[in-house]
Amino acid sequence: MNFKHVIRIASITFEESYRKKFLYILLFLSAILMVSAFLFDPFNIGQQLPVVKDICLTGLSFFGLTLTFALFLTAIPNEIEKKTLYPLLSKPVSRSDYLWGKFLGNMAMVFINLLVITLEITFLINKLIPSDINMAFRMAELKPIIWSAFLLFVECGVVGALIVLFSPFMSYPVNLVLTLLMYISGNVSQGYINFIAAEQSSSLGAMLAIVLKYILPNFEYFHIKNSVVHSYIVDPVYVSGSALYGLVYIMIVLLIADILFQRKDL
Amino acid sequence: MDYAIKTENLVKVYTGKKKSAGKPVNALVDLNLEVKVGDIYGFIGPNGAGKTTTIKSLMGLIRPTSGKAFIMGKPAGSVEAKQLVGYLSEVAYYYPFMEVGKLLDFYCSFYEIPRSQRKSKIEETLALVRLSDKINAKMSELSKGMMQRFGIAQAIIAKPPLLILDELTSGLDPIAQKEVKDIVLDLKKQGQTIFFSSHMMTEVENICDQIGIIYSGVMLKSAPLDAFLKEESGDFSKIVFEEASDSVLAKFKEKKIDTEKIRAGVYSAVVPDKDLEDFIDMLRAEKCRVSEVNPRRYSLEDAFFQLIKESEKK
Repeated sequence: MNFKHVIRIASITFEESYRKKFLYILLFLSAILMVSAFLFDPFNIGQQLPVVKDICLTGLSFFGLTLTFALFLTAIPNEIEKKTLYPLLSKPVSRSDYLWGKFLGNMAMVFINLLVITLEITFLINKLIPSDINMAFRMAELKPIIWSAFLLFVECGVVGALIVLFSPFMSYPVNLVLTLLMYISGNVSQGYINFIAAEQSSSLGAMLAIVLKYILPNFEYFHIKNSVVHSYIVDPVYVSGSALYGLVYIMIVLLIADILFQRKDL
Repeated sequence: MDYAIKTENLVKVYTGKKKSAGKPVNALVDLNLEVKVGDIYGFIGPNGAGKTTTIKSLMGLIRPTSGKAFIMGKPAGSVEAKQLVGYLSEVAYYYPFMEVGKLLDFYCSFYEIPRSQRKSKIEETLALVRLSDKINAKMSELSKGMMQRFGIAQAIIAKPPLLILDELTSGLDPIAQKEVKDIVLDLKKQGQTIFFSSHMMTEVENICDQIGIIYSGVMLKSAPLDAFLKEESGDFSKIVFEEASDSVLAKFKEKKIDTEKIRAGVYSAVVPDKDLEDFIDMLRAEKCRVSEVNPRRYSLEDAFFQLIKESEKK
């Protein structure tokens, strides 16, 4: 793999994705959702901050994942179908350069968008915190929002890697359904999977449940929204561990995708 | 011997549903191809003969089922081989949002060409394909002919020693076809090795030194152009005759000469000049009116059909 080539392909992928109109529609919709959260002034002022954080982080999560699906689902199949990858792959470019370049280019777009909205959210929430509150408390409220957004970014990376894995071999709808199924299964609590494994009468069923537990990504690791909303302490070690888990998972999925893509007839 | 392209018993079997409706299709059958450095090689065959499959195998876009392929001695499809080849695909789209010059720069960036030299290289290449005035135009603004010329530009931008062009003039109008052919003739004058596929015989006859004919995945013949025309024994004439009975047509068939029906009772046949008198005598004896006799040289097209026919009989 040639890193310079990967970066060049990533940059053209980024350039291509920022021209997509749905991106602006999504940005607009999430901006409306988040601004509308500030119109909430429910029971008393003490409740407003958690409600706003909850709505904003839910919106951010929805936006990030929708954007990831929209960008990744079409990226590789479109190039295969329209044959824009023929002139590219006829250059001294390996398929690995192409695959990693597409992944990184789209992730760069997800990163920029999440960054913009996260900054927007932190700015607005900062405004909600009374001005006489000291800096330490203010940072304690704002930092976890950034960590939550960071873990959402890693989560988007895992989803993106799964889509890349299936992209060269499946149509958009099948890929969408399969990735969504993996996403939903990956959100099932690990405790619940352990319970299913224990409840299986056959050893095969139990084994299957355990295999699924290790194969499916555990998206629970990335969800710290509840702690952020209720201003519980978010341990940076936990955040780092989750990010590392996500990164390793992404690497493994992309390596498998790379091996499979080498065998694909274009 | 230095070969620009060499394949050894290349086999490709498609087993996917799309290509074969469930049944395996032998797209390439033990294909042995040798293209020497400096040759202009025309690879011809009807649609579905295996031309594009061969080219895609050479470019590493598909994996052969078995056999080997080499580009300038390097394994086909490897990054090292791709350094040495420029490729124009049969149908290619380019990023429509990009400008002509920027897209060429993007493609150029994958070769070891210093950034300082890229600009002059791009200008030089665009001048060669007569697109200098389009350097800042968006790809989406180019016509089909311009797009094909851009295709040639992206293939030759790094001056690779070998060019592989798949269906060079397919889908172009006559003016665009001529423009593209002229560019290839310019490249030929510069000593470029070119391998190109086509199903347009006159195009191949005008440009190529070496010809390979492929049919149903089998290489029927690979030889210099002259050999095709000489081996197939000299000149021919076309006879048009009227009031032909079944017995006349049977006599042509006996001598393995095909007849073509023009309209009711009127037929034509292409016969070797050495037998022309005998055929005319036979037609007169059968009370047929010979309305036309025209000299006809044996063309590559005739050789092509002859080979295909022989292959089908086998």
